[in-house]
Amino acid sequence: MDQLDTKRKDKIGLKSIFMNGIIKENPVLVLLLGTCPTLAVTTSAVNGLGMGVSTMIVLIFSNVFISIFKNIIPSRVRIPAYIVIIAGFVTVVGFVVKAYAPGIDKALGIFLPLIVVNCIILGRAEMFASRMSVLESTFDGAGMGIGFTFALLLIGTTRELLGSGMIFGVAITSTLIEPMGIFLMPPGGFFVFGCMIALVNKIMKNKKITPKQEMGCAGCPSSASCNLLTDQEDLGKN
Amino acid sequence: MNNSKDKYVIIKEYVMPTIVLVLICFVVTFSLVTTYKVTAPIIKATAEKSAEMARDQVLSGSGGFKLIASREQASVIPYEDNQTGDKLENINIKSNIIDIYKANNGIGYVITSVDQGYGGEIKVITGFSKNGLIQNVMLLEQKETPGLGTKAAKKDFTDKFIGQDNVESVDTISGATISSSAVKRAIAAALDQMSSIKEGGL
Amino acid sequence: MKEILIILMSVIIVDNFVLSKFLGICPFLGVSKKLDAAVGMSLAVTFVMIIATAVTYPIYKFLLVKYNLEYLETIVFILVIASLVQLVEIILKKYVPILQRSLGIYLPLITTNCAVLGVTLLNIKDEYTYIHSLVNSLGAGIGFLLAMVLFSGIRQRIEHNNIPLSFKGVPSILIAASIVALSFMGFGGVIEGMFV
Repeated sequence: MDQLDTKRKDKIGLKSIFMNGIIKENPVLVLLLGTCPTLAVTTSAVNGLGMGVSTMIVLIFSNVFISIFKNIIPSRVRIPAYIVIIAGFVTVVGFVVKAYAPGIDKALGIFLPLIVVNCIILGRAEMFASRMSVLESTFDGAGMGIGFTFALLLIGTTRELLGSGMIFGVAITSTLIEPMGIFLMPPGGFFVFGCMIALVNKIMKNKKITPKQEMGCAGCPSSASCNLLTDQEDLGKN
Repeated sequence: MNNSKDKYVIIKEYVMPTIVLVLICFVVTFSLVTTYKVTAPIIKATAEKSAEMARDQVLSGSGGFKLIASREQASVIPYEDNQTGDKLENINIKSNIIDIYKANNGIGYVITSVDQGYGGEIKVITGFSKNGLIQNVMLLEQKETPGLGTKAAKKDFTDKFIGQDNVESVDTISGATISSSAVKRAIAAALDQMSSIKEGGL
Repeated sequence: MKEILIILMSVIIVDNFVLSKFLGICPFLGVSKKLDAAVGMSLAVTFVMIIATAVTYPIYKFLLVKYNLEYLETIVFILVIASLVQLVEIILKKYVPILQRSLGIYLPLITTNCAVLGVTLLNIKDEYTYIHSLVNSLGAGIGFLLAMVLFSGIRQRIEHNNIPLSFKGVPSILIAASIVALSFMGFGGVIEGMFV
C-alpha cells in the first residue's frame, strides 16, 4: 500500500487530485459516501448548496489540520483524534451558519452537526490527509467538497423543480403545471437519488472508467461487512 | 532490564497516546469556547432581528414591541406601562401560547401560539388591535405536506382571519383539513389569550 | 403509558429513522443484503443507541446546561459515542464472546452511523424527558431493524430479476426504498386519533 502511495504521489499532480474529487471519484455519485445528508437536505437547490459548502469548509480545514499534525497524532488514537478535530470545525461552522444564514440553519436542522459523522470527511482524513502533504490535502478537500456540493446541487435542483416548480426559489414551471410534491418528500428523495446513480453508472460504463475502490470505501469502517464493494465489482465485470 | 523496557513500551503504547488525545481535546474545546464568545452575540442579534421582523409583519406601525409574557420565563412577568399606567401583572399565559408582546405605542398586541398539525407543530404569530381584532396572521414554522398541508400557510388562507374576533367563520381547506384545523386552533388559542388580556389580565 | 406507546408508534412507523428521517442510510444500503447481517447490525445499533442516550442525556442536562456549554453538544456526544462503542467492544469480548463474534464487526461502523448521533441530538432537540428519550431510542432502533429486515427480503427477491444494467445494485435498492417509504407515509396522521 505504501509503495502504491509513493508511485501515485509522483504521478498525480495537484490539479488531478482536485479534479478527481469532482468527477472520477465524486464522493456521492461514485463512492456512495455521505448518502444521509444527500437524501435529507436536497429538498431545494439552496439547501443543497448550503450543506455542500458547509461540508466542504469542514472537509478542507480538517484535511489541512490533520495533515499538519499527522506526525504528532499517535496511530493508536488517530480515529478519536480525527473525530475531535472534525467535531471542532463542525461546531464552528455551525456557529457561523447560525449567525449569518439562520434560514439555512433551520432548513438543515440536525444534519449540520451530523456533518461530523459524514463518512467523506473521516474517510478522506484516514486515507489522504494522514499521508499526504498539506497542499495536496487542501486540494483533495476542495475537490471532494466541490464534488459533494455539485452532486447535492444537481439532486436538489431536480427535486425542487419537480417538487415545487422552482429553482432557488424562482418560479419556473410552478404556474404552468401543478408540481409533484412527492419529490420533496422521502420517497422522492430515494427515487431521484437512485435515478442519478443509474445515470452515472451508465455514463461511466460508456467511458469505461472503473471506480477506484480503495480510496473511498476503505476509509469507511464498514468496508469489511459492506456489500456495496462487491456490487461495484460485479458491475465492473459486466 | 526487561522491566524498564516493558515500562517504556507501556508508556509509549498507552500513556503517550492518551495524553496526546486529551491534549487535543483540550485545545479543541478551548478554541470552541473562544469562538463561541465571539459568535454568540451575533447569533442572538440575528435571531432577535428576524423575530422582530415577524412581529412587524403582523402588526405594522407599532414602534417596536415589549415582551410581557413568555412560556419560558414562567407564567407571569410583572409589567407596568410607564405611559398609560396599564398594569398587566396577572397575565396568566395559557397553554399553547409561546409569548405575548405589546406594541410600544399601545396600538395592539402580538401573540405567538402553537398547535399540532399533520407533520408536527405549527407555530402561528397573530397581530391584534387593542380591541382584540385580528390584524394579520403568519405561520412561523410548519412541517406540513408540501402542496397539500402547506396551503394552510399561504396568504389566501391566513388573510381570511383578518378583522375577525373568532375563527368560526373561516372554513378549513379541503384536502388539508388537519393542517388548516391546527392553524385555526392556534389562532383560537391566541384569541382566547387576547380576551383575557382585554379583561385586565386574568 | 399512552405517551410511551405514541412515541414508539411514531418513531417506528410514521417517522421511521431510515425511511422518513434519512438517518442510517449508509449501513442500510451496505449491510441489508443478507438477513442475518441485517438483523445483527440492527441489534447492535439499537443497543448502542439506548446506551448512548442513557449516558449523553444526563451529561447534557447536568453538565452542559449547568455551565452554559450547550454548544459543545456535538463534540461531547460524538466522543461519548466513540468511547462507548470501544468500551462495549471490550466488554463483549471479555464477558460475552458469542455476541462479540456475531455483532463485533458492526461495532466500529456504528460510531460513524448518523442514526446514533442523530437520535441523541434529536432527544435533546425534541425536549423529551429521560424516560421518553430512552423509549425514543428503543423505537428508533426497532424502526431501523424493521427497515433493514424488510429490505433484505426485498433485495433477495429482486436480485434474480431482470434489472437494466445501469440500475443494478444501489439504484434498484433506492427505487425500492422510495416505494416502501411511500407506503410508510400512509401512516402519517394515524397516531393522533389512535390512542384517544
